[in-house]
Amino acid sequence: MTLLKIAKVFSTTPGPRSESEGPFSGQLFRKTVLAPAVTKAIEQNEILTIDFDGTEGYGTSFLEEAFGGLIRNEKISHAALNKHLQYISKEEPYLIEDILEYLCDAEKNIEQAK
Amino acid sequence: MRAYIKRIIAKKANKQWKRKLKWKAGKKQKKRYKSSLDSLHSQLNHTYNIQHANFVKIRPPKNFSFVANSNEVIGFINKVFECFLKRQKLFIRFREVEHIEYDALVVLLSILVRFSSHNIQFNGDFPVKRLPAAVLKSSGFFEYLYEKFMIRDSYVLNAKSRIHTHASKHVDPSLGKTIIRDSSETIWGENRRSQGVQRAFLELMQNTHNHAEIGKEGDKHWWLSASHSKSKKKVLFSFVDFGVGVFKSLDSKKEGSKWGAWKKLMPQKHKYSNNAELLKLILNGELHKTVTDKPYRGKGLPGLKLLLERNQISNLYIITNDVKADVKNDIYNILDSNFSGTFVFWELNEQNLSCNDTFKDSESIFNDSWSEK
Repeated sequence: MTLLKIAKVFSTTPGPRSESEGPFSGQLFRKTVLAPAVTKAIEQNEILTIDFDGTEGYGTSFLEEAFGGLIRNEKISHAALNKHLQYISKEEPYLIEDILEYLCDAEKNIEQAK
Repeated sequence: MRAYIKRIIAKKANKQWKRKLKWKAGKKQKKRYKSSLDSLHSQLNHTYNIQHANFVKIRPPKNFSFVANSNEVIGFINKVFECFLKRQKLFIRFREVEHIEYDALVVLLSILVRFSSHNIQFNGDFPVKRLPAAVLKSSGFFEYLYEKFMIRDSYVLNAKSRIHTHASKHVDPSLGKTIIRDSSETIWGENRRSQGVQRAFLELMQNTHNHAEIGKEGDKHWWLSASHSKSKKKVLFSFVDFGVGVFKSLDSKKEGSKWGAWKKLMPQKHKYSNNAELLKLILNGELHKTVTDKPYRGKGLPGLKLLLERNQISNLYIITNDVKADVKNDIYNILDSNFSGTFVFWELNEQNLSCNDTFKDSESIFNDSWSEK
């Protein structure tokens, strides 16, 4: 089991959706931290636990871009994410439900586009 | 006996006479003082008129509060903005103002910085009444305005005053941290985190970046101001952008696009007769649900209502285009004048949710930590 604590490995102040909008974006987080960690967890058949606590707070676009983007941009399947990802968010428990929804939406959008 | 009475009457008369003389002298002095004051005033007025002869003089409303007196303040702001567009020199006559709130000052400040950065002269006086004059002085408003502003991407107006103002065109997540730390010291007397306020900042900054100007991203400034009330243990936040506003932004969505379909779909599913009723539907997530056919997940401006419902913030007001929403009390009104932009006001107080600055580390329960590799 591997832990990825966003406040430690990325930033205590996660920012907007894309890099052009401002620093510490969801796009940057996905590309440099989340996607490599998820890929490694899948390859090694491990569980990756993502800990959201300890930051200043998240914008919805950051989360959507980071997690929805795993399916949309990194082409990782929804099923693989469900199998290899776990979440901790004691400070903001509603984040987990939102993220699961973003993953479903991203998958549906890809299916609709086909 | 008779002589004795006579003496008493004479003494009384003498006293009365002296009192009358004193009263007359006082009256004369008052009259003299008043006439000298009048002449001083008229001299001052004369000097003022000569000095500011070619300035356009505009009076703010007596109740200069954007939240409480939105219609009149928008009318005033629109006049000031007109001066800016015509590059006319401006004199703001605060003299008769009886009540001032920081929310209105922030909106005015954000426009006057444009005067400064475009080298258009402006000036103003102070309210005669003690209380509004004190608010205006303590706000640091005029100190800000004496600074020389250039046209640039971001401004920090952080004088030793009660309003701390920041402006930028981009999303600035670290700014939120600084502002929240300062605010938590005022409210709780210690450093705390408020994820609700941080989310409000992020959603609003991103909203301005992406939607304030039709077809252009990152073109408009947002202005964020926090005013601290240590005695009431609360901090009031005002966020303003002079973009197109919510309804003009919605109207600009192209037909055929996903969001362009809202004009067709919304009347089919909901009854609304004006923008006030439409804003209520938007904040309740109905626009999102109608267009996407999915439950609303707190994105953008409507996400602020969720923060209020979760007790992460208090007293939320939104003013955009022709609508004013008192979200907490569920009151949505149509305004007399149009405000070109979006103004959001909320409060953070002792009762709102917050987190300790230090957080319990979950790493100890894991064998492996990605961060250490």
